[in-house]
Amino acid sequence: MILRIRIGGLGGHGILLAGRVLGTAAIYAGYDAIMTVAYSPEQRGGWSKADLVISDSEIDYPYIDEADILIVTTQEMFEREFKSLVNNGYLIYESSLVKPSQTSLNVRSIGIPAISLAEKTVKRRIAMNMVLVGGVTALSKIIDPKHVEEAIRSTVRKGTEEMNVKAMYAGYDYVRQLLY
Amino acid sequence: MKSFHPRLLKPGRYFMQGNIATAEAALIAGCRFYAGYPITPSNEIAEWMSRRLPEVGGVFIQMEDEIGSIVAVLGASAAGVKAMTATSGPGFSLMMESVGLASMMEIPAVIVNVMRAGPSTGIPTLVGQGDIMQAKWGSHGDYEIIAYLPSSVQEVFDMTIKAFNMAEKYRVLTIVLSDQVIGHMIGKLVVPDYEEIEIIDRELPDVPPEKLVYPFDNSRLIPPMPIAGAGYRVNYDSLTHDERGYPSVDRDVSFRLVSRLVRKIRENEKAIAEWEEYYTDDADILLVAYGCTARSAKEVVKKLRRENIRIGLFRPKTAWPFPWWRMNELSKRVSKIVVAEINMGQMLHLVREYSARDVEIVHVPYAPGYMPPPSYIENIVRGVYGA
Repeated sequence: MILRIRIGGLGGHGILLAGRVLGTAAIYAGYDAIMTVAYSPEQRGGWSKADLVISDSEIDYPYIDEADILIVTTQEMFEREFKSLVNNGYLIYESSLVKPSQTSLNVRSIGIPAISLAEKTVKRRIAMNMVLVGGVTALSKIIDPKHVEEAIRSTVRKGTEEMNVKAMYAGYDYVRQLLY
Repeated sequence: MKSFHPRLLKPGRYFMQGNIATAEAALIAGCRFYAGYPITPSNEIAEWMSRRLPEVGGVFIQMEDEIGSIVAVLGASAAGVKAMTATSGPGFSLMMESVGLASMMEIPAVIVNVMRAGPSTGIPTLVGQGDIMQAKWGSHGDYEIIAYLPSSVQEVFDMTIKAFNMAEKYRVLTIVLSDQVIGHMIGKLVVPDYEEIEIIDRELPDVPPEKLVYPFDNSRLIPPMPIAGAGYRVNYDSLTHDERGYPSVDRDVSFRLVSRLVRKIRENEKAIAEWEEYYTDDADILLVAYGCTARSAKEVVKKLRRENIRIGLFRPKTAWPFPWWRMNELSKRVSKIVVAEINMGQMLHLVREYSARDVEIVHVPYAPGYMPPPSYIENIVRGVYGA
């Protein structure tokens, strides 16, 4: 089993933190995981990208050129990275920030109103990355939300654990209701 | 039993960046002094140490340059504190003079070189493996160092602890030749229970400070090290020195000292050198790769083995001492050797030097600032194999 997740967005959206939480959850679940990151040179307002590989066996080459799940929070990263999605891959996007301008019969798209869900559940728009993490968790089927919760508690800044965990479950429930 | 500071990284499972794992490993190994100068792609080590060292009772200094950094590290170690610096190619070049100084004064210290694309300032943010030869031959004169080649986050953690241990055990400069891919990769790290981690401290004189101690006693391969400032009479000199540490031009003094500097590592090379073998038992083609490149090489071996191609991987985990005896044995069993590295031919020289005469050696030069993807190595291997 190998799962390749690409997360792209704006610096400040918490793209790398989302990747770290998912990777940590995978490690807690007993998988191997590797994340490589890239970002544009701007100090503020540039793009940011995290590539995460999760596998039940040892991962060798750390980079990916295609993704099974693509998560985007900006139109720019959607346009740039849509082609990296494999056949039968999943596209997850923040539905107030991204309007998919192209599609493919072989790609399943899920728009999540992550910002408004974050605002509704924890009154903090900033937690939208954790809403998306929850959405991926529901979709991936290989990561248990308990491990994601544990990963959030060990990764985020002290005092923000409950808020982030709640936001994650909001995204998890939202996608589960869509799927099942 | 050793005591471990309560603020050290706790045993457990982590998803951590290679450079940060390097810093945490150094703290567990007992490092309490860091002097450095910022350079990409090693910066996360300094940044992390600047935050973490004060928490465990250590000292962090940002120096004026790399020359000052390594000399401050040697001073701290001479005063009895485990010390390190981290840098990348251009800074490593500046430190070369003091690599010889550390070797001559037999001061334990650790340099982490997160290798980037060169030569000169090259490409700061991208990977290279061009410092393999410099690590051993960069300073003038005869001396020996130890250099590790980590391939994963776990390994850069383990090897950083080992680097401190070996530095202390042999009174030698030890280098961790990490690279940009390993340093910036975020991967799995398991920190074992502290009792399972071996920590070695330098041997101290077994007599009180008022007694006479020879810091460079040639009757011992690795003489016990009196700590400067602890009351012992200590004289460190970069000039060729006698057993007390005083300069000498005596031919016997010189030959004895230089021989010992080299012998203390060469006579222990089989205990120090490490390597990994993967499917070498029945291999007809041997891939030789290290550091991040070995990750691609291993994937190639896995793929070609599924096609019943008899290929194996030899991965040196120490560049210096190089496990030359094992290289020699393996070279006699295979018909072809393929060396893959991110440079135009460095470990290639070691493979050539120690391999059997009749074996065909093919080099995969690669220097675009990226690690070779498995397909790149695979194509060359297929060409060599005729498949």
